[in-house]
Amino acid sequence: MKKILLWMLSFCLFGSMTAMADNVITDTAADKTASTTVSTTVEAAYSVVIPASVPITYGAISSDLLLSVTAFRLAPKQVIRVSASSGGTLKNSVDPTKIIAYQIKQGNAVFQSTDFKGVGKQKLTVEITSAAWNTAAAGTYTDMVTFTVSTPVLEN
Amino acid sequence: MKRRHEMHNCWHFLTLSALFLVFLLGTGTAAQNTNIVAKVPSAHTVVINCGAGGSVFMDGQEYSGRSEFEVPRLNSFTLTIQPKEGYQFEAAWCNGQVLGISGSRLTISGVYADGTIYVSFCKKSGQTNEPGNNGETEKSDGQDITDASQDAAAESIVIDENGKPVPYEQKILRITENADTDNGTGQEKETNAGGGADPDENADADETSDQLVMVIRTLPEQNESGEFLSDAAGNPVYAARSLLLSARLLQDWTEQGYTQVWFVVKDAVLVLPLKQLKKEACQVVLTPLELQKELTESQRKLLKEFELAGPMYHAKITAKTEDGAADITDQIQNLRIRMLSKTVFSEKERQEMKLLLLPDLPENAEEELKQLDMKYITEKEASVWLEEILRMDETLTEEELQQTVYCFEAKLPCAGVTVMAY
Repeated sequence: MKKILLWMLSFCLFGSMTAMADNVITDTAADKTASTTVSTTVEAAYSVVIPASVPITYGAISSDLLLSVTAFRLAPKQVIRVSASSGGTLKNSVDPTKIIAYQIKQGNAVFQSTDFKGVGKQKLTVEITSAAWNTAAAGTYTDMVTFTVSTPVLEN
Repeated sequence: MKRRHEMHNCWHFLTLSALFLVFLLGTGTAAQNTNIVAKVPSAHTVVINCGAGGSVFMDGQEYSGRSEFEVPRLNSFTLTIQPKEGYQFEAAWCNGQVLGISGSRLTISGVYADGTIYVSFCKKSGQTNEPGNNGETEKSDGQDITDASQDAAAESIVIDENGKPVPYEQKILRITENADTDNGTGQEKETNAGGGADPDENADADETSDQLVMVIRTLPEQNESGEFLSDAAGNPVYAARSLLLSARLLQDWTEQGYTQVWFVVKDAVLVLPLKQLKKEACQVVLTPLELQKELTESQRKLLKEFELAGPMYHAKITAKTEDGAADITDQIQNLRIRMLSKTVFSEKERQEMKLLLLPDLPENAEEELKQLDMKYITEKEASVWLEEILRMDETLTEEELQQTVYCFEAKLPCAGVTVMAY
């Protein structure tokens, strides 16, 4: 048993001497430089919050619809682009021929798409004219707006 | 602990059901739907506020004082106005608009919102003016009943210092105006008591364009009997009036093609460009002041060097904010005030007169006084004064009207401002 332990101890000592020999600088005449490439991949990730529903108060000519980006980890020059498409009319649930026209706007312009370059919020509005409200028949009106989220890379 | 965890999961689910969360790794596209929902009520609450001196009948039933009933949406109803012995119908208005009546019948058609209709009566003797009956006011199409959730004061667009709704006259003017110039010199083209105009006709790009003007003209103070009050010289007495412009009213007028609102108090008119008024509700206050009497000490110091003449008005526009109200007078571009030149020149014979615009200054505002430069002093600007507006002062004869078609006009560049001539 003692012999076995002695052999194992000798093997460990020999091994450590070999490792130490790797760090020994044998040429002291000049400094040496070396480079090491370190690489890693950061996965792109983001989160966009889009309201599942927007209730419109009767008579409201402008109702807020808030888009927000709560996490943003994209490549340089890459943005989060949110665009929307809709029919532009709310339809009566009982009689779909009865409609209320509306527009989704960002500021004074009709909303097409918007780019997020980081976390933040952007306010859109659902706008219905007084004339549209005033002539609408009673009932519940709905419409679906489809928001599309993409992450294009801007050229400039 | 497990129960707490379940509650947390439940709360998380509720949160996610209200907000849709798009979470993606890497690039790619995702599409999500948002449901837009609007509910239009099936009936509206109409309140009739009948003043002393009469009542109204509907479907054979008499209503006096305050009455409330439901009207199915987009339906119509007719009120028959019945003054008491010795009284006569004075005016009916809703949401600040004078309602036209046919004989003794007032028909409201296409009701689309809650609202309160005010019907007022006055004694037959001693009446010098009857707003709503003089044929000059705009006849309502009856579709002006709006949200009754507002308080009573807010339902009339003109109120006095105590917040009480007061009668006023409403007129529509179509003027031709050079849209590129700031002085807003306008010339009356025709008087149009009809409906709105295409907003595109009023595009700013034109050198001159038709401007559709909504004129809100206040009336002199009245006593309890409805008689107009006069001062010792026999002139009508005017007091501060506030014009309440709700977001909805601004939107309505804009959609109907109006480009300006003129708020007339006594011999001055505040010219409000509708485009410059934001969507938020605002309150416009125009107050005729007695010279020097209602100024702060700081303002008096500033005015020492000026020989003041003629009338003086205080103008202020406020908008509601979360903290209360904010003065937005200086934020409205091309806000102008016009004063009847006859009243400016009436006291002193001068060849030249200027308007002095004095901003609101607190007491002991020495620092503000030092910083105040002469930018508030504007050169005299002559502008065509519309005779239609002059007719508010019935003391003027036709000959005087012909001679006084000019007025002073000045832009108001500062918050809360007193305007006077010197």
